[in-house]
Amino acid sequence: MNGKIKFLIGIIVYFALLWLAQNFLRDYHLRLLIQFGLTAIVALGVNLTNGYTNIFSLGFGGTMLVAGYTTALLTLPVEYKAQFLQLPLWLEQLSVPFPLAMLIAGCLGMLASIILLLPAFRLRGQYFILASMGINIVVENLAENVRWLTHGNIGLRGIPMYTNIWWVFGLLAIIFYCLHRLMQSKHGRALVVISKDQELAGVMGINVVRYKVLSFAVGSFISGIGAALWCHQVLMINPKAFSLLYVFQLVAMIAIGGTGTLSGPIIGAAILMIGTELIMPLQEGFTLFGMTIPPAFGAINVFTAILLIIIMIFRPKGLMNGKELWEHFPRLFGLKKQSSS
Amino acid sequence: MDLYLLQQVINALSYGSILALLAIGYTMIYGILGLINFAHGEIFMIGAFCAYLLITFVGSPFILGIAAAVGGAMLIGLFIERFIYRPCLNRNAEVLTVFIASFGASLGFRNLMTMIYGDGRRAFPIPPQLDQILVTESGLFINTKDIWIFGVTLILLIAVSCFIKFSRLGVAMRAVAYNANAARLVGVNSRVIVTLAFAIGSALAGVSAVAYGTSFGILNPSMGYLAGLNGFIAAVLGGIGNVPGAAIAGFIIGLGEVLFVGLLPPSWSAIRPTFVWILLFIILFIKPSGLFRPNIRIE
Amino acid sequence: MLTIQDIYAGYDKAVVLHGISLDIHPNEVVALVGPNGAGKSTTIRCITGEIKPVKGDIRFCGNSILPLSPDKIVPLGISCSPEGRNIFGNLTVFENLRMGGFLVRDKNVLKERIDWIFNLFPRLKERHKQLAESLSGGEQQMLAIGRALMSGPRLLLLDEPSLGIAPVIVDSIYEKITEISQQGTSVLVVEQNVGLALEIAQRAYVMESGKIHHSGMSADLLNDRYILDTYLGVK
Repeated sequence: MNGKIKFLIGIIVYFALLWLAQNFLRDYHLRLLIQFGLTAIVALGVNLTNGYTNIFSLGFGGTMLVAGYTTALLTLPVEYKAQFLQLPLWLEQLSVPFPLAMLIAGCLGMLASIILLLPAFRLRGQYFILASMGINIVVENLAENVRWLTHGNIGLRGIPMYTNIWWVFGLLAIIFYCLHRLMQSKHGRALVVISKDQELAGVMGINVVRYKVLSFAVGSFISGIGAALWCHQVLMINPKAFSLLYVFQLVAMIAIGGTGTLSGPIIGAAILMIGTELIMPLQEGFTLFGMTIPPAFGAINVFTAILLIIIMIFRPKGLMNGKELWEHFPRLFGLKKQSSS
Repeated sequence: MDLYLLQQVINALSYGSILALLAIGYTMIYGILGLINFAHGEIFMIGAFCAYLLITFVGSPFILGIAAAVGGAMLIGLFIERFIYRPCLNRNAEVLTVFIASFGASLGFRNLMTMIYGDGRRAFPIPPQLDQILVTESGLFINTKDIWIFGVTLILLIAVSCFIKFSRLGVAMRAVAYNANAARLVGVNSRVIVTLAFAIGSALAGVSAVAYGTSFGILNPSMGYLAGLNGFIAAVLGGIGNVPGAAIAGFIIGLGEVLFVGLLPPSWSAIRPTFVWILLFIILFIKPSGLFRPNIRIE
Repeated sequence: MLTIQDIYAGYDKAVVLHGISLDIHPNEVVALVGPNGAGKSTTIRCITGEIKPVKGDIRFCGNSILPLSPDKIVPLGISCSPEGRNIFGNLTVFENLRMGGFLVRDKNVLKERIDWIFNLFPRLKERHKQLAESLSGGEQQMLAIGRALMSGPRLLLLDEPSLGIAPVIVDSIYEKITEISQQGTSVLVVEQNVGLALEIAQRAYVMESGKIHHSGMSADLLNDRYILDTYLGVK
């Protein structure tokens, strides 16, 4: 009873904060906040496979690209599609509402990841990482060359703006809650066992392949939704949108925040985004006491890299170190200290 | 052999050499530490920049440029080993953690160079006496630099293979790759072996970098990234830990890519990056351990 | 020569050895016997330096070897044929032996020792060009012993040399162990097969649950009712 009231209050506070942000933040900061929210969604999705199930895949850039193009093609104005692309008529005429487009994008991303990555499950250890990285490059390369569908290197522009703070943070809350429930269920525990020891899991009667596929399906569905939100925020997509650099940054976020936790990826996303904002002036060049500091491109990534390396050396499991934020600070979240289950 | 085909093979020589030299570094380090040294491509890139800076700005002779590339690459390779991987490994980190750290190292060095030099392309200074085109009687075009690159690579490959096959430390390297613990029990200090692997791998990456610069005439901070990936694919195809295998696979990939572009209609050449990966997938599905025998313990 | 004084050791937080003490004198074959899980292999791994005891001391020829890593203990004259043999399957038989003599710089010494080992185990000589993983279990055990001998040890540690090997070959390997000890190398042999070990050892320690239960001359132990009942199943 008490718990339910707290939960309700939490939700009300959450949406009140969003309302405040919506109304009082400057445009620039609001956009940053939205960017953070959708990055967090993607990070949560990726973390399900890479963190909880411990199948280190770098292929999510490819599946996100599939999802991004899907939502773009489903929502772009018919005239635009007619002018720049050579689509079959039904696809050219097709125009679906945003929520449905997002759902379809998530499903296609999921499908793509299963079709592309399932064969790779045969490979062990780092061979799998290599193969998954290849999938990224292959999808990117195809997007560059299947011009009738993707408009090549230029990509698709003029995607309608649908993403807003309510969509992003509403979905983030729902996804967070669902993942939290999933990880507490027997399916979640099965994933954790698989992550610790696949053979043991098999001996215990867990259907390892089924659970890996499940984890991939759910993970890439979530990151697909994230990709769709991204498209309707940035209003364009091109083959380089989710290139290996993006993949690196996401992996860095999750690793810095803490793999195998729900709060870790979100905190990692926040740290990197705040860091990026702080270093942005250095990257663009600025004037200090009358001296002009020249722009230094790449400063942000150098910062990410150094942070990542330091964390990997001194805290290999990330800042969260395998525990959730509310387990670190139970008082702050109004929880009684309890042993983690 | 068909003249056109022969011409393509000649064109593939230097690209194959570059990949072969790169692949050895990956295969050695993976063999010994079980780690994809993701930063190997950046070691290669920094080697290229060392040569470029010395030749272009100091005006030193080309041969000193090669030495600088080798030295610079070795320095960076050993630095990464000593200050990034070893602290991770000393804390008994999982290999995945070290792999993510190598990710970080790759990202860091690539962008550090971008910060310093910008990410535009620069012209690599090629000595004119190296860059001459010979035409044979049958009408084959042969660029002398390709012959040089191939020749030097061949000598190095033979030297490294002999070192691995016959020398005391070379045998120890293979032993550590197979069973590091048993190697300690016969008195092998695995740290020395790891350092040696990084030194040799990075030195070869330095040579490969000069070959790249000479062959393509350009360099930029992200040059190591694609070349490095292809080098790693070669290492996997050659059977991880198998040095001659990696070299042969490097040539196979180089030749495959050139033939892919040369034999298929031009509209296909844009999907050249895909080709290498498709080749990798096909081979891994037929033979999950690569074309040749891996030199690590197969569990 | 080797003195273990009251060591406590284990893996992570689980302590396996609870105060083990034992001595090995020069030119002696000592057996360390006991059931599976008694801590015999752990004791061996403490001597080789793979596991660091949390308490106690291990001294070799008067000096403590506790702070040394395995690769620093080998040159002192302690060499080990580990449990499960752990030969280098990707190397040839010859290369395996050469790795055994990794720390021996003198080519002549190396050659002498290899000849000696080929004399001891002619089977290895026949197969010296073969990859070690293609050998039979017995041959792999010979190779593991040969590899351990290559460093010219004063103390040879043998961890379960009879494990998974045909009985006929076990007998011949045990004969060779006696031969090795007669040439001036002390041997500590760890065995589950108590009867076998007591036959060649002058002295023996009987381990159970991380402690030494009995110790004494092999002949005495073989007449001990308790030992016979518990380990040899003789009624």
